[in-house]
Amino acid sequence: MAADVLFKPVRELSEMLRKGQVSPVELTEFYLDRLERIGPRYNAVVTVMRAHAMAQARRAEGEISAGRWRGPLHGIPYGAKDLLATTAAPTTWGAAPYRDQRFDFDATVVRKLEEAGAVLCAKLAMIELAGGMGYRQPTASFTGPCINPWNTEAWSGGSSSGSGAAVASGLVPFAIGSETWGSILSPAGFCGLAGLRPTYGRVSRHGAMALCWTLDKLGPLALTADDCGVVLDAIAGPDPSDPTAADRPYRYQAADRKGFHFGMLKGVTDGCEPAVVDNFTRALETIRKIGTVEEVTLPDLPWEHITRIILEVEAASAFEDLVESGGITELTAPEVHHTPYARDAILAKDYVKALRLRRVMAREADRVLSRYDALVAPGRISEAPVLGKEFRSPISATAKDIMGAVGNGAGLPAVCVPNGLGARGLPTSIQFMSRAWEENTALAAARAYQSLTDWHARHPQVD
Amino acid sequence: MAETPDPEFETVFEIVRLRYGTRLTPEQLEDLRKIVRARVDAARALRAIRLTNADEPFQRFEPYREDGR
Repeated sequence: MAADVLFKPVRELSEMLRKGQVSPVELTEFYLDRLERIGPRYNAVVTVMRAHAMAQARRAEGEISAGRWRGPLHGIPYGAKDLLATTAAPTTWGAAPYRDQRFDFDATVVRKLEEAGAVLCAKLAMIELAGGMGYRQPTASFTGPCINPWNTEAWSGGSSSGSGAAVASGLVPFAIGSETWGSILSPAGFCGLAGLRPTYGRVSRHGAMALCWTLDKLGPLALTADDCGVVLDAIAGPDPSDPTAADRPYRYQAADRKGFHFGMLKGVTDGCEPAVVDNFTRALETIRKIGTVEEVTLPDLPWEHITRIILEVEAASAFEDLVESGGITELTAPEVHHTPYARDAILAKDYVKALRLRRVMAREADRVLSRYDALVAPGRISEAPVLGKEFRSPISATAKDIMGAVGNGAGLPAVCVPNGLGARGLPTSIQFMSRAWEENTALAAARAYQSLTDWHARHPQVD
Repeated sequence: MAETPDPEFETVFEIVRLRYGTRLTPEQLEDLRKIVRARVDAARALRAIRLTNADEPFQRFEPYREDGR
């Protein structure tokens, strides 16, 4: 079984299911076994949902046998970041104070994936409260630091830590993560995966823990950009339960194309590790085979400050009770026992100024992006940080991240895919960020890049 | 190196200290001073950018009706 399915993209697994070469029950049992056996090695899993998964798998098997094919995710196992409400398992938000929290409804994304026939196998580990209290090191989760399958002395990234580690180690073919600022692209990039951050409002946030109401986005992590598109097709769309979910239809378009026009922000590799710069430079050579690359600039404005103020103020309000009650002392990361208090120093007028400047940010970003298919940049500035040490982060203002600040502040879609290995044998990545609502363009670019490279076909030695 | 006197920073930090100071160790309070100072500097950077009356927040308010009409 392992040789037939392990590290196979969703599309290939789907074809195998459709042809009867493997059954949903067999496939689900295979991944459940790995989740239970290997998941603890990486602290990637909070709850394995064996009974729930087998019931869904049996249903899928019956439907597929009867010719009732729901689509490419029918019978495909997956994991959900543990900030997505599920009736069949606790939803812990990665945080000790919420370890027994239960909801009596499923998040819209979970419901849509069930309608698509996917099989929910596990709730996956995450940084506590999606990093919203301002963490500085990987041990910021009540399930322990999530370990990178490529190098067990390294972090998997976050805050969708378990989503990254689980897909990278072959515990599930795809996972759902979330990004407020970096939390999909970080674990995807550090773990050698494809990660898709959709346009804000593309995917309903109903049932997802809110860190920052105007920055949070849900999206897939998978082995290929194509798989990310397949998953997005199933989870995108309006939702009466989430007024911010846009009434814009979405259908994933997998048609190949050439002749891309890419932009690249001046100085985009400043502050990056040498291996990141080298791999990005090599990736640019590949990208020039599918299109052109031009250097572009944005006005010199404090982009990171704008997005950071929005994030911190909304997070302060979202977790007001936890902070004011002193409940933050129950969180795992020692620094977050006091750092959230600093947010009381941000004045309301400054938050509103940030919202006004957000419009300037969105306008300037769209002015640039309207001339290109995507902006390209390194996915992360470094290989995965080592465990046990503080890392540099744009959210704590110890690292620059204009792409992240503008991309998230303006709600723009981005997909990252692996583009090499670094000095410590850990993956590096490249990101393609497109205009609002142009996920298909970013995915087409990433697919084209992956058609000329094989980094996505390399996997860590797990078994 | 001694901090440059900054009455605005000291005032907003005092808000934080008054609200939460009894919960904090001296080390935590010192760390908070640095973080608050960075936030005050960030806010100043935003305030330095001139906008016009027509530059609205990028957040649309819509009056609510349960029936959605």
